[in-house]
Amino acid sequence: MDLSNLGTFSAIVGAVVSVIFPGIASATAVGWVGQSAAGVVTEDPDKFGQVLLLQALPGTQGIYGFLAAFMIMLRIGVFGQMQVLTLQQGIMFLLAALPITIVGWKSALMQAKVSMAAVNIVVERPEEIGKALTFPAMVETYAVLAFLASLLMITRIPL
Amino acid sequence: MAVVEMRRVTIVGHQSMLDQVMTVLQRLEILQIDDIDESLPSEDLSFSSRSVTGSDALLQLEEQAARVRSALDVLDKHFRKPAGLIETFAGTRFAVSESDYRRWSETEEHTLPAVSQAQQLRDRLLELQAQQRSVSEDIELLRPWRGLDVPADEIQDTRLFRIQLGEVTGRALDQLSEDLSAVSGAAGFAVISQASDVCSILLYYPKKLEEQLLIPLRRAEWRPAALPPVIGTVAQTIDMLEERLKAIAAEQDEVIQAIGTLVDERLALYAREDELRNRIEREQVKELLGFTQRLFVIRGWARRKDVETLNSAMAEVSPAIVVEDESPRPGELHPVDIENPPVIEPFEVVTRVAGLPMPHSLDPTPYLAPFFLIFFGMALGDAGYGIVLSIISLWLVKRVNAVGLGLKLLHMLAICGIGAVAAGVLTGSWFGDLFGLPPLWLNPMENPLPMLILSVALGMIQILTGLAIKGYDKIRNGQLVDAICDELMWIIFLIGLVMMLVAGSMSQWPQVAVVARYLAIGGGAGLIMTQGRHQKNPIKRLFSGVLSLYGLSGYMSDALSYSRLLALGMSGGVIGMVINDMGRRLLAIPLVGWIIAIALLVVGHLLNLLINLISAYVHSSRLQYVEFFTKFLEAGGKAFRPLAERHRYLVVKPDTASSEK
Repeated sequence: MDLSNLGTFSAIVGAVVSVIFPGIASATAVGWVGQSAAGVVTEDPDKFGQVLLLQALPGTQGIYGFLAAFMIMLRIGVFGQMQVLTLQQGIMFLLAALPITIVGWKSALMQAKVSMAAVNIVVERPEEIGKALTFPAMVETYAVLAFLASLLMITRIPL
Repeated sequence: MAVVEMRRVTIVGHQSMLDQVMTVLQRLEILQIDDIDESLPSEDLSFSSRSVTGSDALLQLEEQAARVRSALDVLDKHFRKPAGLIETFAGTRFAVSESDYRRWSETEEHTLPAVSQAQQLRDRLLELQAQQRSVSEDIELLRPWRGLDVPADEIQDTRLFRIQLGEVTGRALDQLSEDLSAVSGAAGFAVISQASDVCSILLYYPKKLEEQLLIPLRRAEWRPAALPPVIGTVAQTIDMLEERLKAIAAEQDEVIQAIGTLVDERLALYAREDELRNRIEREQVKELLGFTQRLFVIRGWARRKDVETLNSAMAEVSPAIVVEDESPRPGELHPVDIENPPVIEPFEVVTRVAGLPMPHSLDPTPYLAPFFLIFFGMALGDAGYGIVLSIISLWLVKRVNAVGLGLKLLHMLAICGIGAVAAGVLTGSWFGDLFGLPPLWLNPMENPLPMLILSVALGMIQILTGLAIKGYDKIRNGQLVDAICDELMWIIFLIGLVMMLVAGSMSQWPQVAVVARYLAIGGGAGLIMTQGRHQKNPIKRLFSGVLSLYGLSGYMSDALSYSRLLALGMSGGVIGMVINDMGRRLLAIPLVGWIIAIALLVVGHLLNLLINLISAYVHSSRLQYVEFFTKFLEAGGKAFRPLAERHRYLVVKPDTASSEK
């Protein structure tokens, strides 16, 4: 095995996991909320717009994960001249991807549960949509922070 | 620009004028009516209250409203509301002129034909559906017997033989055949059809053998068939029934078309339904009033500026009506309304969504407006998106006839679009990096640190502003000492700490560090000395004071929470870049490349705008609610909700030349 590529390999692994885990979690999360949302729309089609917002909320983790991956790809030159990284650099990218990978994954699932509860707010009191949106946003805070940490590291790792 | 001053209003008049008074009040939309039992202490006067629930007038109105609603349901079921995706999303209202509205809704006359016709058509449709169901069921029952080519009524027992149609289990067919022939050569069956495990057979056997056949037949799970009436052969009957189905379907289409002719009446039906609902509300509100033998007493709240209008409107109804207004008793919790100049008014959305402040508290709207604008701009962070957002919002205002909170939201988004343009210009983001325009300030993608510092610094400013507002509020209420000990000390302490952080990078002004140190020490010492001032024991007092410094961690985490602004802005920007990158690659495809590229750019950027819009709104709001409001706001006010004409799907526009088409 040619060890000289292990650095680039590690960085790619970082990009891969940061897409996979938050992505799967967001898909699951959006799916769950979508099911309760669909139930609401069966009863009252006029609530479509409101519950759609709630469904979209836990979808952002997947996006953050993808963005982290994209920034890694940009930095290691997937779109142009592929860089050869040292093992140390590669592992740094891998580590930098971990915050959004793990926090994004877990927070999307938790946010889905809050969003589903918030769907019930909209059923009973559609005028309180603003409050219903705020609860899931509280969970998302930590995904945003994790993304921020990942992003700052990814953009600053010396090459 | 604040919490509106409310006046307690009492209206007294003769009962013969009550209905007229209520109608006028509902049109004016300026008086919130209270339950008299709660607002007037019972020892003052005793009124009889009147129970309206179940009264004839109310029942009649409710019955009428239900009929109009069922007519609308019939319409909505077969003909979609004239609204596209955007309109469904945004909850379109239909504009009608005041004169049309009154003409359609005042009496039953205008809508009665449509309502009764819709009812008839619906009943006919239900009838047809029932017929359709029963005919289809008959066809299903007959289908297995289609192959029976003798007329069904000829299948009858003969003198010696029993001949019957029925079903047995397919598996048991061979066994049954054996059993029958074992009993007698004269018994047997013919298979008419077989579907999965059910076999439809014609069974015949000598009557005298009936007893012996019971067991084999039961083993084969024999069930005699119960056929619907058959005329001629089964096949002929099925054909006939299918003709019948077609005829029913054709008539259904006709009925639905007839329903379609009622579509033009939809707005009138909406109007009538609204009017009936409003009358119902008017009736229901009467329960809150007080009555003497001849008089009625209305107690309620009105905004101070509306009292004059109320007086003159009541005088117009009759000079014999008495209107009194007074200020709220101290400590009385009156409903809250807020009022702001036009530029700030749209931001009331943020406040109203969180819930209004208590009557004696401050209206946070003017304070949060500039912050919300900046935060939203940074979170969206793209000049192109900002322009598109503003344009779409303004277009939607016209398109969906938005009113109330929806209208304010759209206006706020239009204003916040400008914030995004500013942020985009500063960071060089125009639809991501589509045009490669240079940033006026810096590109956070290349150098995120200054942007991070800016985000947190803005957060710090908002937190200090919150403290300052709280201090101002306390001074306003005469708690000068509290304002100095709590808010001013914290402000000094926090400013000192922040300056100490900054001082490191300002070595050309060494004085900054000195001032910072004094501020921090002074503020900190002030806090330690004053925060325990409610404790009597001096040791406890000191201890409480020191402990209060823990509040610092709260302020720090609050400030760091604003770092999300950078992350949100960048996430939008990066996705924009990805879309542009994909677009550029598509350009390489010969001939059609640029068409696909443009399509991708338009759809991609619109989707990205949508996702970022949600994030920007939600997170900018959250920063107000969790980080800002907690510093000074006393929430929990009850919103002012005057008796008003409400409309579900309509916007009633005053008559002007343009609306009279």
